[in-house]
Amino acid sequence: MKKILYIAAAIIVMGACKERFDLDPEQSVWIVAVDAVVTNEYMVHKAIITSSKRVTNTHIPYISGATVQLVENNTDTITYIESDSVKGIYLSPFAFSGKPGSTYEIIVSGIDFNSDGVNDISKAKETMPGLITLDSIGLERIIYPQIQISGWFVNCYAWDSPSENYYLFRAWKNSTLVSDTLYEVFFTDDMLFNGRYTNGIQTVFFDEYKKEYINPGDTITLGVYNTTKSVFNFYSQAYESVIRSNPMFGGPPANIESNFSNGVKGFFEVYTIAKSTTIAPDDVWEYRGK
Amino acid sequence: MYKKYLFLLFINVGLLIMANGTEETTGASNPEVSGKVFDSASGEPLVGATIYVVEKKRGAATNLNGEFSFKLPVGKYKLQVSFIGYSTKSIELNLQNDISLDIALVLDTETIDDVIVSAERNDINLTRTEMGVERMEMEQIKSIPTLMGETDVIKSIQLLPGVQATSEGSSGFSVRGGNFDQNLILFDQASVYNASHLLGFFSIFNNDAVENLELYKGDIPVMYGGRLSSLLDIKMKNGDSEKLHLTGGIGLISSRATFEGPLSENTTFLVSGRRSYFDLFFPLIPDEEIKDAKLNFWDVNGKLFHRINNKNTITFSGYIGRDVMEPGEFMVSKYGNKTATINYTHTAGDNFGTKLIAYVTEYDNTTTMEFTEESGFDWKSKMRDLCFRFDNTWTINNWNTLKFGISTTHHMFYPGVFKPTNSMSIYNKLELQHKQSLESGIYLSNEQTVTDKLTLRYGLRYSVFNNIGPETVYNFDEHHNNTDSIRYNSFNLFNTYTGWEPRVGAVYRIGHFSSVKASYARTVQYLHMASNSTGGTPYDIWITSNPNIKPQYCDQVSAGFFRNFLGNTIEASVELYYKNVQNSVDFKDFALLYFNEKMDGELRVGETKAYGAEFMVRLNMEKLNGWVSYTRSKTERIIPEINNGDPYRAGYDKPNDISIVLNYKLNKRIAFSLNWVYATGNPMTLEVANYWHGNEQIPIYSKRNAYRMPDYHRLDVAMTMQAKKNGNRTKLKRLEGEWNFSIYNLYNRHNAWTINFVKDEINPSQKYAEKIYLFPFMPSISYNFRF
Repeated sequence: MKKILYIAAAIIVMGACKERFDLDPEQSVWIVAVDAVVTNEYMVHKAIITSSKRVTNTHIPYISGATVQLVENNTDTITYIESDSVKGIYLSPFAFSGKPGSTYEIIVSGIDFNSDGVNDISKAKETMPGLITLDSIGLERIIYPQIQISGWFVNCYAWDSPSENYYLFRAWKNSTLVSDTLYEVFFTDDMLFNGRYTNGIQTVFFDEYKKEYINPGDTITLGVYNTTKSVFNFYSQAYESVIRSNPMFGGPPANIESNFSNGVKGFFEVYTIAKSTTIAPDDVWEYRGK
Repeated sequence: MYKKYLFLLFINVGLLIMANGTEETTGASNPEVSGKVFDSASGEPLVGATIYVVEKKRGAATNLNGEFSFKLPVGKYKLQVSFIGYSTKSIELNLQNDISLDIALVLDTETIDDVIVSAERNDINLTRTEMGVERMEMEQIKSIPTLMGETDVIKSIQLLPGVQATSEGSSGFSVRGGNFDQNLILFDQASVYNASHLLGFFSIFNNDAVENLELYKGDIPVMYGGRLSSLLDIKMKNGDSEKLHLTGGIGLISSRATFEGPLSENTTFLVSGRRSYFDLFFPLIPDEEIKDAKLNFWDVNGKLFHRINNKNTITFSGYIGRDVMEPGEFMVSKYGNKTATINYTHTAGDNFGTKLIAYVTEYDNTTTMEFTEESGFDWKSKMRDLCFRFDNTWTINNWNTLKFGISTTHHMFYPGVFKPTNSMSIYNKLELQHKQSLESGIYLSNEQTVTDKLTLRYGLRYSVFNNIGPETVYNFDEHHNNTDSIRYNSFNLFNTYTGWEPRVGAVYRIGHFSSVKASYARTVQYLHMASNSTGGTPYDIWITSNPNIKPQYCDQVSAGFFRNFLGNTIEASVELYYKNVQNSVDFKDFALLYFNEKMDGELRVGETKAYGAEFMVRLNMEKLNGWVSYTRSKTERIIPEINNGDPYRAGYDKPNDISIVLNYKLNKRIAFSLNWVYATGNPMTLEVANYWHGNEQIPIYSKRNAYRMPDYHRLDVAMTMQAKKNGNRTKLKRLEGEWNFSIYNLYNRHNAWTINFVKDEINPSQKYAEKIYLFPFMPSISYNFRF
């Protein structure tokens, strides 16, 4: 459904005029944001703590000196260590992999979140879902210049389990992450294919208009992240906050919800990752559109 | 309270009937003059025509059926029958006994162009008991400068005080701060759910098929209900009863043609069609993909009018329209309205008129998207109403006109069916449950002339709304989480709401040229649009009140002072209003409004308050006409679960709104017109800070609608020039042509449609504010003809 709205919006915006507008509001809000992830991949996990900033500023206002703890199933606790190289990034002291079915709670303390002179505690808790059975991936080129769409879809062949599932998809080209911003991550729930073989669902898009080309011989990897409803909502809201700027197809924009307590923004993401790789064939150039 | 009110109402009506009977006994020495006033060409009754008795210096106006009656002592009289835009007719009368007159008025082609906002009689603005009523004739609407050469009735009413466009170029409108779903739009009595073409930029009404329109800004006549803010009543023309005519126009966006005329002495027809055609030029574009794209709309209106005899008429009218949006084979989106109306009128005696109306209206949307076979899907949604109305007008005597009737509407909503286009598709079929309901009303009102100076209008509408099974209703806890559900069987009226809707008004005449008015109206709305956008989309669906969603109630009080100058050629007015809406519907942040069986959990309800003052000066001079209006208003909402419970500006809150609409007739061939509009900028929710999440900056927004866009203003100009007739070429002798040259946004103001922070393409971590605007300086030309 959203695709329809986006295309309709694109048709209008294509005929519209754009210009820079002199507006740079003073930052009137100060909040703390935590960006933390736990996955089933064996790695050193990290949490990044920053504060909000003025819209037009480009720096990253890290917050140093916090205490970050990860609690597994209310029993085992891992205390993160602040990175020496970048203050404000907190790393697990050792590599570990999350376990599907386990509950993880991240606890951030030692920061005054509400500027009342007293340090506060913020928590977020998620349960790691099971691993999707990923069969294979494919590439498909489409060209629709009418709506300025041209590029390659990474299609996913996998079995969706009968339970309620939420997926994020990220792609790499020759080991370089292409879906490197939140808005380039493809996400979906399983409402329309629940319990079925996904049979080549279109996921991440290599956008030719953004010069994301695929050449024959390139190694393309797709990561399928089975995640929680709240993480899915986070991505969905983040994406919608962009389309909502169109008065025809969105209501007033709204602040994205967080799963952290005590007014802390950001998100604690938990997911299991399944990956599959394919080599771009010579006939990747096949014209499929029209 | 209500019982007391009802009691008083019926006592009053009873007394009036008795009074009428008493007068009958003395009627022998006061013969009754009654009759009907109608258009000589179409036979259509003229509502509000004036029958003025020169010797008595008093008169009467025709009712909804074009009928009138009054009593006079025996004697000789001169009657002057007039209606704006028509030649006045004088009748010498030697009155000895009761007499019935059929009076045909001839359209005055010399003066019709002078009509601005027509009043049924010159001072009707002073005497009419309804407040906030605007009437516009099609000739006036056609003279207003247009966007892309398309005359648009809804864009015309957006120039009236208290009426706002929902967004730049949109054919949606907000009345006195209300949502755009709070307007009841009737096209030849049939309600229309989505009155727009081309993603909302043009209205569905073909101006060649429209006779006139009336907009009621809150003080809605008691016979109508179901919407809170306004009634827009658009009447389709009857066909010409004298000659066959072909009229039409060629514009930049579309062309249209209308064929009308008599089928017999008592029967006329009208067929009107319109088709946009800019996509017909796509094949000329070298780009292969664009060649096959489609983006167009078409619509057809039809009307058949038959006068059965002097007492009975029947009308069949209909509309069908379609929008097609097909940027490529991967997507086809079609949507549109269909309406069909039967309208039977009957006159019983000289002072009783009845209308029996039945109509069906349907809006549907079908979209197919198939980027690949595996991802192909169809999505369909539909709404259908079947309505019966029975309206009666009884002119009891010269001082009392009683109106009463009933109506019932069956709503059938199909919120969505999603299904794969082929067996390769990965998608499952998903069908939301159909929802049906019944909305009925019964009403009674009286307009009573108490003294020469004071006229009262008081009435009561009682509305009933029923949800009808089969339906599964989901229950929610206090946090709007679904807890369980209840299944109701077929034809089970499982939920009922009722509403008392009093409508009262008074006008007190001060001298010959002034009056003060006051009114109160309560309206109830049982249907709500599931859209949180400011402009609406073709894909919006409607939802009904149910055990989770209470109806919205609006109480509006208004008062005004009206003053005419220079023999009613200048009308000045100020109207004050205050509105309070209970159970006002809004949606939670990031509401899921499509394919959501548990939509009820997405709604949040609260209160809306609006108040304002509307100042207006209208000019009805021979050469210069138009109006200047200024509206000062405020509309805010308080919904406990939105904006932390703090009051916030409604989406259409524009404290200052100025419209200047002028038309100057240089001579019989050439006329100039201009609009200048100014309004405070739209409220907006602005990104006031952000934070990093990975490589992305997540916005932090201000409180809802805490900021405003820059003020909006725009000047449009137009020149209309009638083509010279060529008398030597007899075949073209009857051809009347007219050129219209318009410039929209003459001084090229870049009015903001949206303002957002976007990423710099070269340095994506740098954001800057970007304004999108839609319509810069836009000249257009169109040619209209009549043959």
